[in-house]
Amino acid sequence: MTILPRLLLLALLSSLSGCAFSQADLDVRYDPAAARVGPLSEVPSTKFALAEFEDGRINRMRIGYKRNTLGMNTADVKTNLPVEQIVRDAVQATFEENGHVVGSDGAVRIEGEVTQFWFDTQTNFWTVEFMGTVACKLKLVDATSGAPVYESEYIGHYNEKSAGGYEKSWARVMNLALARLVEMISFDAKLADALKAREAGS
Amino acid sequence: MLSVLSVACGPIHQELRPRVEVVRALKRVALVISKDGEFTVFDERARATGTPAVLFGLVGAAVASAANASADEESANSLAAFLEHAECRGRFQAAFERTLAESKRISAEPKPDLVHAKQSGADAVVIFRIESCGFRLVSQESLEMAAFIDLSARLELSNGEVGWDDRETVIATTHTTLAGLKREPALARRLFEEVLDDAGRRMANNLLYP
Repeated sequence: MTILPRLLLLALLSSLSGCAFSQADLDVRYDPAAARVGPLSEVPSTKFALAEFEDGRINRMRIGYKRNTLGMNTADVKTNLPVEQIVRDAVQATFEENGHVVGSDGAVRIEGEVTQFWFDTQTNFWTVEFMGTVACKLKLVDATSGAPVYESEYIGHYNEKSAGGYEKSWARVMNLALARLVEMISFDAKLADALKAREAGS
Repeated sequence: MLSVLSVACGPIHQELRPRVEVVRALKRVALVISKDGEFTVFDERARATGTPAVLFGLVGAAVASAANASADEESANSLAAFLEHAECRGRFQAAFERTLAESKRISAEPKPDLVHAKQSGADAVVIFRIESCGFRLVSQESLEMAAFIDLSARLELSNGEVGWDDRETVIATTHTTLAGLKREPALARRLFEEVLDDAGRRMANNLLYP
């Protein structure tokens, strides 16, 4: 088969794949029941003030692209909820699962910035790989004095090779990346140490 | 191309996280690393599309795949020259053992294989299979690479029950371009070592905090 018929076949196959040109809105949201405890649970129970998170991503218009076989972007992939809200809700659930109280005021203020929230696909000949990456910066400050308590960046990544999958699979991949992200917070021994040191000093 | 058409038949990944009632009883585990994956770079391979297959068929796909793999191998070799230990196992294993030891709750005893591990009398055997580690493209929208390690974890109890079965890719928070990594060997080394440390701690924390 020469190149022209192949391209025509490709165009036909692309049109048959239906939703390739319509935007995908993924239902990404953290399941609080999945929250893990870690060293953060060994800090005496603290009341945290959780600020609104910022969206610090370079590309705020989408969280990924639908791509065709040639690797061309055909439509946007977005989330139903703003990404800063998705991550903030997950952070709140994580601190609460670790025995802390999270509200609009508290002894320690948590500020957050989402730096990455990206879904990607890598189409191979027989399989497709789905990759989700979620990253955020957290800054904890003493709510009274404004003194910094701790600052760190966290990242969660999940990827899987599959024979195929569509929006539900993509949302699941992003949810698992989000779960990995907040696990990092829960498992961050330096965060726990910083909060313990603040508690001991206050 | 097939994967584009078969858009509704993806398998659901079944992960088995460590359960509290299983892990709380553990005092001593035998540690086996059943596969010591190789240091690699996923750059050209991560950018590959189906274009060669569409235009030139299977032969085109095979040629393109070989060319991409060769380019990545070249990058891996040049980066490995900067790293003192361009291997996945040592630092990861050390971080895993150290985190467990610091907890004073579970100790890990490395064993050469599953047979020795099962004969050790430990409460359970933790088996890590490291697929690969190195640097990979973070997304196709950027040129930035992240240090990573891709591994699976399995916990087998003495009664044969499986208490943990999961696969995880841990990536570094700091990303930079391949050219940047080659320009700054110290940065490449630090990012690579950090991700192996993170992964080791993370796997240990999975046991300590089920």
